[in-house]
Amino acid sequence: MAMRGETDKRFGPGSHVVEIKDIKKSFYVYVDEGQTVLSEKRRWFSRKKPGELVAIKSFTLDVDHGEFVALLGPSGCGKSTLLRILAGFETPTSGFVTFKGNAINGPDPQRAMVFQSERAVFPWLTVEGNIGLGPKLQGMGKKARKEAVAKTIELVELKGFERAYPKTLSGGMLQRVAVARAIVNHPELLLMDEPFGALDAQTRNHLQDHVVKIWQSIEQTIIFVTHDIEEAVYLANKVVVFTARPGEIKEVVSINLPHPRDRTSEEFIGLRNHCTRLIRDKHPEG
Amino acid sequence: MGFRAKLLALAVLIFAGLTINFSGPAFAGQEAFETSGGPVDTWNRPIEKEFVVGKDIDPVHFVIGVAIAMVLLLVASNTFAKFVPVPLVRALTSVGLIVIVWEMVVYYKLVNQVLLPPPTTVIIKLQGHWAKGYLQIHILASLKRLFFAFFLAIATGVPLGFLIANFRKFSDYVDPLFNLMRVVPPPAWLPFAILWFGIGNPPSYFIIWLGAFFPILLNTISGIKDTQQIHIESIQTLGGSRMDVYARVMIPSAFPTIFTGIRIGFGIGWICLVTAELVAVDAGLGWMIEDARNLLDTPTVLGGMVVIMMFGIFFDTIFRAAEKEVVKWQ
Ligand SMILES: Nc1ncnc2c1ncn2[C@@H]1O[C@H](COP(=O)(O)OP(=O)(O)OP(=O)(O)O)[C@@H](O)[C@H]1O
Ligand SMILES: [Mg+2]
Repeated sequence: MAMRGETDKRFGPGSHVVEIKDIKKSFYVYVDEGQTVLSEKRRWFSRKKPGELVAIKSFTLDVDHGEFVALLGPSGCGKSTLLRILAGFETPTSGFVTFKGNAINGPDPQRAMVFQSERAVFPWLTVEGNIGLGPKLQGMGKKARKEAVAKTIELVELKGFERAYPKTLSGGMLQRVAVARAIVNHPELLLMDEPFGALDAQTRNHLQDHVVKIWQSIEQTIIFVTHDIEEAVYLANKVVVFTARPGEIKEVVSINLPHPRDRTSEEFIGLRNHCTRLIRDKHPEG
Repeated sequence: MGFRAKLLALAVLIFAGLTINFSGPAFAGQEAFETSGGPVDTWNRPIEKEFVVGKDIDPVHFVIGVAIAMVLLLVASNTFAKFVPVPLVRALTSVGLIVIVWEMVVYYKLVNQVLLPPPTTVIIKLQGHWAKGYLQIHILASLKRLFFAFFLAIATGVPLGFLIANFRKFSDYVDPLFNLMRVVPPPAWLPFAILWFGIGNPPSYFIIWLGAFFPILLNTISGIKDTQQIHIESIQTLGGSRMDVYARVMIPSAFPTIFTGIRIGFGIGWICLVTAELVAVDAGLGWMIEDARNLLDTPTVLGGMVVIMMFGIFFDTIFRAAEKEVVKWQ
């Protein structure tokens, strides 16, 4: 297999799968006494004043084909916001974002998103139905679709649950359905927003191995949001550490360890401690 | 095939049967009625002999029979607990007790039998009406009316609710109008319904439609509005178009709520039907009751009410079963 993380030249010399150039994203909210963000909507007779909440600012990052990038940062620093911009759900207030050289303009199945919550799985469809929906929307034939779904179900180890409705599945299984649903289309870019945030450590480790397996078996680029330092170091070959809100890049840490990674190895612990220090530096008093 | 699936199949069969009847003569069952041979008056109403308590059914036997049936039911519910649902047994027990007390207060002449015809008389009366085909005519007339207006209410309520939930401008203009209409109880529209649509089916269609329409409309609106943003974004990131958002996310996620609206709408439609028939038409269960009232034929009045109850419960049961089938993913 080609070395992951090396620049893929297929989009022309010097181009990247994703280019983020000096973006800023603010939300316009109503604030009370300049302090508390109260709501997006202004109520009648309210004394709240319109204010600006800067989620991300002066953020620049290039992502190459086949890279596994982890966005690491404290809660509320704008990681989801950045991912939603890449998915096409939000537009940056200033700066620009391109995907394969084109400006991002709305959602696209080539930039599939796995959401922060497992509630994103459609409860009215079976596991099969959920995973098969993407290919169906792409106009894939019935037979090819069946094959693709079966293959993906095998990959995420959900065999035997094809006909099950989401309400009968556990949280970890739902997350696997969500991941399967996103990868079945073979998107060029897979955006994952803390997909395992709400799970117990064991399930989480298991699913992390799944993701590495998927990444190794399908040629694609992954941007993975997390606030778990160990998870970032375990998965990614590039960890982007955010500052607290407004989110800026603190440092980009390269992880050049081969998979599967040993969480107890010296290098691993060294990199983990380095990231921990980076995050802790934000609160020098702590 | 599961129990629910069977119930659903039964419902489909009934709907199909009714639809076939729609294509029959305007006054379905008319011929059967005319050839039934019983004595009739100029209005084709069967002429009744005077009625006597327990003429054909001995009240004592009746009471004992009901009591035995209740005991058997209790025994059965203990022996075959798996197959006899407890709530049903309890419900039938209280109904059975009421029936026994009701029969006895008349039998012991505690109340006038014209003011409260006993169950035996009601049963005999209904039996007589059924044998002459008189009851069937009215049941069919009512059901045809109900189903027609009910389907009209679905066909208008669901699309309008969808539009109101999705298009802000449309909703701003149209929603207030429906809210104004909604607060007027449907029967209050009757005088104008008759003025506008004349005597016959159309005014009752209108009243039934009014009753069934609003629950369907409101539930559709709230169901569609409750669609989760994350589901909409999910289908977009899978490559879904705007139409896919409507057809593959909003409609399925709102469907259980819409179906509840349909069930409630049907119930209210059934109530409005009888109300409309009391005034505006020349056949149907409501008309039968009103006609019997004019003749002081209280057993028929009560019998009509019992038939209305039966059908109301029957349809509600079917709708609930279908509802469970529909929302099995929840
Ligand atoms: N639609 C919105 N309207 C107003 N403010 C928003 C909106 N979306 C996000 N924000 C704000 O932007 C900031 C960043 O939010 P974001 O969801 O990107 O954080 P995050 O890094 O993903 O945090 P977490 O790790 O807790 O998920 C937060 O302060 C949040 O309140
Ligand atoms: Mg987030």
